[in-house]
Amino acid sequence: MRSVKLTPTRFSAGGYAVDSEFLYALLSTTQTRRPKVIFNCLRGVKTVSILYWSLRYGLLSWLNTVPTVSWEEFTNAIETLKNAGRIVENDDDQLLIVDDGQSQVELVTQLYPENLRERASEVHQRQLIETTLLAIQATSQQSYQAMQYFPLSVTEQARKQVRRWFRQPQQQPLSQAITNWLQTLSAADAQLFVSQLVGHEHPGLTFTQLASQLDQPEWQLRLRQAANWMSLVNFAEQLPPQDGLHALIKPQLHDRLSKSVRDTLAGVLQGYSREAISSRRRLKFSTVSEHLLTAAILLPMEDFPYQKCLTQTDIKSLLASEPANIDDWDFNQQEAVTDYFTFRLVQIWETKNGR
Amino acid sequence: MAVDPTHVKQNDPRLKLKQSDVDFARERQAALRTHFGFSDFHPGQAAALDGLQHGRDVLAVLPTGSGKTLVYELATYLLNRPCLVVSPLLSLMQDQVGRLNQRGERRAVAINSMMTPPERMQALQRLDQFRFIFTSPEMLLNNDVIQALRRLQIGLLVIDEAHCISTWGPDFRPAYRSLGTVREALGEPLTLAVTATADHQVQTDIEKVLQLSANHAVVRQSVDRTNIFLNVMRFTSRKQKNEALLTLVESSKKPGIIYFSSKKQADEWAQRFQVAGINAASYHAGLEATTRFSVQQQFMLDRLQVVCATSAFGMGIDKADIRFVIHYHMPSNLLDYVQEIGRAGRDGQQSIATLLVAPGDAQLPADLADLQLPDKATIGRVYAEHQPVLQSDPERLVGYYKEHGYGMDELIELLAKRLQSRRLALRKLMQYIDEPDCLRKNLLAAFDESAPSHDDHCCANSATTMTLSSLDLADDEPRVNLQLPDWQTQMRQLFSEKFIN
Repeated sequence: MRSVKLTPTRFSAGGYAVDSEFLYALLSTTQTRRPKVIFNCLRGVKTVSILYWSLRYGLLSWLNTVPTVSWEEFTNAIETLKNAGRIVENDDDQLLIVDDGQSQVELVTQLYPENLRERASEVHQRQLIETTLLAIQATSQQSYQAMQYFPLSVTEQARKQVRRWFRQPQQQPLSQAITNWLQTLSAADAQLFVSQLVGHEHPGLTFTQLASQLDQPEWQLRLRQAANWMSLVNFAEQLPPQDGLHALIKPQLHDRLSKSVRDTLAGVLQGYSREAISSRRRLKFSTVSEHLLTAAILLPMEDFPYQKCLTQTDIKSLLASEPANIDDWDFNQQEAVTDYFTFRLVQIWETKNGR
Repeated sequence: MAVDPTHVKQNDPRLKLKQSDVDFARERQAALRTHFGFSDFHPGQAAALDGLQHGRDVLAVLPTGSGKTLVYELATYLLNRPCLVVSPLLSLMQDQVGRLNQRGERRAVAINSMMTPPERMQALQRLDQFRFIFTSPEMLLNNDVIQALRRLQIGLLVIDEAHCISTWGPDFRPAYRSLGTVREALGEPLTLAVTATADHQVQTDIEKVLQLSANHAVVRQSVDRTNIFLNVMRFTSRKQKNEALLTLVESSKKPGIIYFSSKKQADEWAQRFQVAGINAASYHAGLEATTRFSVQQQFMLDRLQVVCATSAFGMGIDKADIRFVIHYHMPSNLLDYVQEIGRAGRDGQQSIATLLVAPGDAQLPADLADLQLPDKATIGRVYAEHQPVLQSDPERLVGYYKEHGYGMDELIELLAKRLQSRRLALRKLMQYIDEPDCLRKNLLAAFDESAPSHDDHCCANSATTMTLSSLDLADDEPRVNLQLPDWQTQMRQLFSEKFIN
């Protein structure tokens, strides 16, 4: 089997993904929202604060969906909306929709359905795209017995993975697996995906070119294409482990929670207190608390042991003393009677219960 | 040089010193055929190779399209020792490695800032597996890189786009100024400095910084590209210039490149051309790597008629039939201008280089000349602090000079001189634009060359009108309606029949 030699490069921040219309869909007419939270959510930053507020904004499913977004691009989108008088910024730099324009939520969900975008926080997206594109290029050239070609520039890590993958015996040709998957998509989405592939005499089209040819804004095509990639991930995962497409994509997936967060969570499930976990794992007490809050936010309700971390009294006393809108709760008022972990976990519990 | 044959490998470059000129000529001719399948050298290539075969350092000033890359690739095969190529741009390094791969040469690697530290360490450990090693001047400031290269015993050190030593070294990429020290640390290997443009000052800078051996050879070909018609068009307003650009591109024979100084304008114009039915795309450093790859490959495969680019596009673009290069924004000096227009007409066919000028256009390069240099406050702060935090480019520049023992006043004087020379370079460009007579004569004078006598295929200054048809450069191809094939058709193109059901 032929080896592929490539040179590493940066997968540079592309931009153009966060159009003002897309940002508009992530804002609300009733809830003021912090731009930094939305920005970091799209980039996949997993601090408790970003995760919590993303949850409160109902934007958690957008976590890590645009990992390459730049602050400049993001603030440009904000400025566009502000200048058009469609949003306002309050004294705390929070944004609120003021116009009565058509909500874009439905449109973005149609372009990038929630069940697909939720996968984004479990995928090394850059690595996924680079390895898959390179494997397709190498396979395409091989199918024409073209031994000498200009290889796609990818990171050293992606290059190594594809080299290894290329040497493995494959149950079915990659082209066949991709074709099978494409048949599950709409003709338009399949066309969009294939138009960006690179291979023999097929240099791939850019989003800008496609936007012009398909007569759809670039940001919308980017969301559709992101959805395509996640759909491919889902499809590949269902294939048997020895299948080439499965083997190519599996290494690009990761647990939604880090190993350390999982270990802390396992400690709670085994009945250990946060103090005991902190001492056993030699972690700061605050780190253990952060691990648990992260897990509580990112996991479905049934997968987190709320009953081991909260009592009914905790919940009732906070509900009794704080305002009806959870966004208005103030920890400073509660500092004497409860700790931050409990305060935040009750907020998470309540949010997940639909408040 | 006396060489003990028992201690020298058969292919050691020192052995070649004993060979006769005829042997050298025969040897390089054979290598040209074996490795590249060509039978003839371009002007200047053989002379540069001859110098290297004689063990002399070479400064080769060969115009764009004359095959500078071939010189060092062939020399490496002849010397049969690793070749280290210092390259100014990451994208250029990628292109060079990609092109070697494409030619079947797999022993090529780029050691640059895009590698993670473990990846770099790993590559350095197995450096002996590579024949061509590409890197940046900045990377050569790292001790671990130098140590690995010392162990390797480089056979040929190549400074690609060597004019950067002079144009970028003093105030933008100071690591270029350290290349002489690097060369010394590597045991003063045989050195080849290549560039397409070097006036007298640039040549002196290159020789001085690299500390080339006293007997080094200078191989120089004229920068004049007689098949490129030079054209300056002046407008009374920006609006008029915009309209003219659209008309000019619509009516010109393609493919072509249009240079802009802003990424945003390059993007906007690419879209504007597309709307007008011209197959265009933008190319600049702000795009994703895959997008840049697609644009470059489409251009090479004749799927793209026009590239709207910043200066990021060009170095290393090896497309022979580019018919026009248009500058929408002014470059900051003639050296850059000659480099960029040199991408046209590498096949020797008639081509055209047009510079569009509107009122106020000179302000941008003038501002850039002033702005990019560190001000006195920055210099004072970096020198005053014991361990200054160097975040911006100007701060890093000052930090470099401080670290290399320059006094504060000395640096201020150096930068003042630099500013002066930038302004002078811009003035020369303005003189080219305002030239009342022959543009070619003006351009070549800047490189101490005289021009051939003016004729209809020479140039048109801003007072003269030019017709594309008289140059046979009018667009004669019907407009193609771009239709995106369905996914099944595209899959059949991607994978040959037997690979797909």
